[in-house]
Amino acid sequence: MKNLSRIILSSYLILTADILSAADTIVSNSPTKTEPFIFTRFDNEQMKPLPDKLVFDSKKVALGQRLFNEKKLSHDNTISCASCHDFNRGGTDRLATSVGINGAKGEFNSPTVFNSGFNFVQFWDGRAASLEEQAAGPVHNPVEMGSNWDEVVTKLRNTEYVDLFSKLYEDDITPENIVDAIAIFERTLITPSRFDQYLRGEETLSEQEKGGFQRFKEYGCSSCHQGINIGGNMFQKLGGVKNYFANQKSSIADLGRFNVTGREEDRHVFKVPGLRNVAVTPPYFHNGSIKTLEEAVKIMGEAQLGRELSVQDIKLITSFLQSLTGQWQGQTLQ
Amino acid sequence: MKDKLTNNHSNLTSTGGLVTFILIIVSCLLLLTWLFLKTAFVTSDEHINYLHLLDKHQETEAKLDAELLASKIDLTENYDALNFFIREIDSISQKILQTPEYLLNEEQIQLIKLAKQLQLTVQNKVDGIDLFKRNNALLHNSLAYFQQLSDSYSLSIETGSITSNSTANNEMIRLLSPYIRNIMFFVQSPDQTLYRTIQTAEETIELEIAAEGLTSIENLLLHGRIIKKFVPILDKQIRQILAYPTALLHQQYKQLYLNDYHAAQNRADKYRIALYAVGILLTFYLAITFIHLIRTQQSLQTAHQEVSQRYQAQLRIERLLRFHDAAFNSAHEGITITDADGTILDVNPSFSRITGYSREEAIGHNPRVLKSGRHDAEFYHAMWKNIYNKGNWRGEIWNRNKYGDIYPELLSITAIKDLQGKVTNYVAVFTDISQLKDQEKQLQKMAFYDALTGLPNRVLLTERMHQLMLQTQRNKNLLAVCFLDLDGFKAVNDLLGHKAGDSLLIEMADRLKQSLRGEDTIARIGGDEFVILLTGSPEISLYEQTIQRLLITISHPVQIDSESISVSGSIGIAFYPIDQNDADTLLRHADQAMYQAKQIGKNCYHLFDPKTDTQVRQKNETISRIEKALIHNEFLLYYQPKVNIRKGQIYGMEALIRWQDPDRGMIPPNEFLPLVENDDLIIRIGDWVIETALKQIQQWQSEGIEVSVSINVASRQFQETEFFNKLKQALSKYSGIKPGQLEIEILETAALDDIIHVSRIMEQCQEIGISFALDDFGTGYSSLTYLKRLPAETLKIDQSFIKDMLQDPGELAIVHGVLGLATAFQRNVVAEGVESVEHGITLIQLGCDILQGYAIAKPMPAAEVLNWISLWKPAAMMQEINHLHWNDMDYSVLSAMVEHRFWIHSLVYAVESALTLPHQNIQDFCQCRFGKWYYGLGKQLYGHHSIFQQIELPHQRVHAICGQIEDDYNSGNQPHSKELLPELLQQHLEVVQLINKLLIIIASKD
Repeated sequence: MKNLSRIILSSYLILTADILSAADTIVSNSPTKTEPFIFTRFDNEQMKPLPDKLVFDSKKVALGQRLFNEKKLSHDNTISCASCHDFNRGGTDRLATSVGINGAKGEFNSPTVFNSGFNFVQFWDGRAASLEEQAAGPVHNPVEMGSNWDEVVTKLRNTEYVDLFSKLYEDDITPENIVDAIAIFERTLITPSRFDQYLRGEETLSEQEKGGFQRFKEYGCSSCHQGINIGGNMFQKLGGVKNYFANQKSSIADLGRFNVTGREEDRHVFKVPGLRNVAVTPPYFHNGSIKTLEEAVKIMGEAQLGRELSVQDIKLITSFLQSLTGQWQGQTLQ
Repeated sequence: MKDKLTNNHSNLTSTGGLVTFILIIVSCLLLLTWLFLKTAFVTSDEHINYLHLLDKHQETEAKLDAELLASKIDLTENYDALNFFIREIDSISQKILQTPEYLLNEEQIQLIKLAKQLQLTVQNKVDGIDLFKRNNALLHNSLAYFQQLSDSYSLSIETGSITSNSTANNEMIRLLSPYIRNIMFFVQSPDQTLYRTIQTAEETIELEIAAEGLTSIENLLLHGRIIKKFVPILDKQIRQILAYPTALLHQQYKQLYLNDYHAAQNRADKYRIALYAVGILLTFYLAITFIHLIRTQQSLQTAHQEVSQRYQAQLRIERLLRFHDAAFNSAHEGITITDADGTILDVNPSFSRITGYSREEAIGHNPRVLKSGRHDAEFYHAMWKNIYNKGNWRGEIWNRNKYGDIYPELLSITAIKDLQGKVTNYVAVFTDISQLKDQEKQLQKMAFYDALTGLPNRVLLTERMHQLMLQTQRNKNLLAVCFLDLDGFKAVNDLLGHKAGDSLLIEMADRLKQSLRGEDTIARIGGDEFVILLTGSPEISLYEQTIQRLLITISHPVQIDSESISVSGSIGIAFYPIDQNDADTLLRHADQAMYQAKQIGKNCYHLFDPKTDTQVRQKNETISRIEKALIHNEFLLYYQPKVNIRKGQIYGMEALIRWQDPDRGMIPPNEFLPLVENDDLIIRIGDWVIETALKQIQQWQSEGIEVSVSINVASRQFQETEFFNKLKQALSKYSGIKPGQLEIEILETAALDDIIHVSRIMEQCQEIGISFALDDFGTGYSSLTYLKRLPAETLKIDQSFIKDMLQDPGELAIVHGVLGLATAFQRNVVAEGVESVEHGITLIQLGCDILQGYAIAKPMPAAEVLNWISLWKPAAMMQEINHLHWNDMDYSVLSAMVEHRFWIHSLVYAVESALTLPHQNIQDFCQCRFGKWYYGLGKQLYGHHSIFQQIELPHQRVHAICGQIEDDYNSGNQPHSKELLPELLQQHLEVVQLINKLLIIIASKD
């Protein structure tokens, strides 16, 4: 019955929405600038594997990588992007909340930079629509890099960056070009995993992992954690089923997207994080309050699914999540 | 029309016109550019792109809607595509905000306002979608869990295991089953009634749960509540999302944009029309300007053509004027231009040069100032008449220059007339022909004078002769016509070249002029022939003296090119009126006399004797007689043998001509050949000789005797051009004759006459095997050089030398010298005129082996030759010594003997003729030449021979006898001295015999 209605509706859509094909492929108009990724319309698969390869301007990638590690982006030249997004720590700092210049403590747990290009918005509260917007954020954040563009550009002007930029950009060193290079570099940070191979039909997952994946789908985790990044393509209220913050002292950061929109329905709403490499990016949640993956899974089951997951379930799901740990430059993330 | 064009043209070229033109063009161009930009502003590309953007926005939104619905019904299981479309729409919205620039500002503002409205609506929609995503996920999750739970409850219900309490169990089953069913139904079609039913059931179940304490069911209720709550919410949200009036806004926006676009297009159209209008105007303006330009150009071209034609013409005229000016100024001729009255208007520099009057002096005057007065009025009258009638006059005229000198000029006067035929000017062109006249004289002179020497030539000579002949008739004087020919001139020409010859002639001419009086005439009438006319005396002897003096003058050596040359002259003289003939005959007679002078022996003169002339006539008769003899075959050849005395062999035969005259008997050649020597008859005789000799050789050949024959060829015959060919032809007739069998004898003198020519012929003949002998060698002053150049194999020593060599030491020396020469040049020597055995012996002693002469044989008829040959053998005395050889050193013996003989003979002659004794110191036997030899060289060389010692005594006796003769002479007893002669001769003979013996001993010893 459900299938029937699906067929009827899809037929209607095809006819009325001027859609040509049920498997219409959308390709970005400008692959070098924005989306090098392929989406499939009316995709009945919840999970999508990472693309095999990406096409980028390698020089800009190199420049972006350099800038990513550039401490001059911070006011006192102590902090770079890589400080909080350490590739040796799964693209995070593995702190509950990040430490900025002069040891300032941030309010949010820094999410991994790996596969961040697949997130539909950036930051836990989605206040940045793109990686470019995101990159500018920490530079200005007093508890992060504590600098500003004028300062950064002036600092870079006195270095060999002038040459590097002038070869790639007509207008040399500008904030736009800096974030462009960094964003391009970040978009190359993808980590294919055994799970991607599994999605392509290879038997790369163990029975336990497959069991975990089965539960992950059946229990409804994949209602939010879906798409190419296994999350990262929607907002959701933390405590969608059961109030997570009921017995907690609430901070401003806990307000989530409410801080951005001011809408009541956005209170405690966060960007659903992508679960790729989740096993290597503890601690968890927007404030890094949860130390272990098992605990996080358990809380998610209660707060979001209204379920008390059994120890067995948690074990299976956790083992599945571990299969999402991918490889960067041939090395499995640790 | 043309003027108007010219005006236009000037307007255009004037600065103001040009500035106006440029301003119009520039402003038009600016206007056109502005208009073009205005029209180009509205580009279809931009419009289409913008429309496409709008469509894309709408299309993407539709896709977004579709994706949303697909998510709602679980057709799409992830939100990636949804996010993608949202982002896409966002980016398109940003682009839409960049409205096309061709729209007006207010239009753009309006559009942007509407676009923002649209963007906002879309943003609201996106926010809605965002909420939808969350709720849909929750619903989805709850539905899944609810279904799972309900499935497990349904199982429990069936097994009755929900609670332990079966009643409660039943009650719960009763409650739950419809509840689950209703929830599921509600998902499919959520309506209010069902909602309330579910709510009621919910409350009932809650109560029941609370009563039973079935917390597990709470989860089911929890998710049931979520489903119950979110299904309508989602439905509502979907409706809300889809209800956003984006489509309407789209439509409005598009309509608004299209309106604006049309407005912009209308504006652009207006600009386009304006553009077109301005373009047309500009084109018209340019066309008009262009037409003007073309017309201007045409008229300019015409004008230019005219101007350049005129310019060319002017250039031509200028050039012509320059030419004329140059011609006028540089003309060698004097030019005078006058007006019709004859007043001088202009003259050229040559005029001034010739007349002496400068241009300033001449202008304004009449040319009659130049009149010389040599011509009468009639002359000028005729001249002017000619000018009036024919327009010009040309002729020679004598004029006077500024300094009074009269000069001849060649004058040409031309009248210049205007178109009406009226005379306007006269042009006189004249040349000073003084020089011409001089040259004329020069030419005249050249006709009468020899160019080389400046002496009168034959023409003038003849004229002078006529004058002088008339003169002599009047004053009874004689006129000597002397014909001079230089001896040996030809040789000078040949050996030293014509230049030297010319120098010689000039020198001779000068000498002649210097040695003669002014009134005497010397003329050169050709080559080395001069004629001298002497007059003023009736005495022949006076003339002879003069001639003698001339000959001496001539014979002085001449220095030419550092070489001293001596020539002599032969002169023939004819006297008028003794020789009563005309000038030509006189010259001929003088020529004849000169010829005779040459015959006599050169360097002398000969007077023409009318009797001689008779002899000449006789000679002519003789020649014809000789010719007749030839024709009548009265000639015959005698042959005189030449023998090699040493070998005892016959060397050859010399053919000698004889004339068997029927009347006069046998005539020797020297009596008739000289008469025809200068006549072609000699050639014919020569031919006959060759023919006859060859025939004889052939005949002897057939008779078994092989003998070579020499023939004498006269100079004239030898130098005849056909000589060689005729000889060759003759030879070819007698095939039996071998090379070397024919020898040609030519006189040495003849050979020297033209040595180059002669030697060439000789070489030609030698090539065909004919040998040569130089006859009479020694008489022709031949030098070593000549001998070297003449290729003759044989020299024949002239018999005169041979004849006297026994008595004359000088002749002996010549013979000895010739033999030495012959040896040096490897020539054979034939001694002619060997008259005695003694001669033969001496010749043998001198080393000459080939002898010819009476001592061998007299010339004999051919018939006797065979007999002679068979009988001949050398004379006994000669045979005795013919095996002996003398050294050149021994010549002194021979010479001493001849000296002695000469000494004796001259003394004997003197005594016999009662003449003064020829010798000094007669008694001194050491002082005579022989004595000097005997006690000098002789003693050195031959002192050891007893014979030599024996000579001393008779020689001393000779001198002793001579001493007596001398004493007799001194004592006046000359007759007695004659008596001593036989004894003297006896002693002399003894000396000679002893010397001969010595000679034999000397030779024998070697």
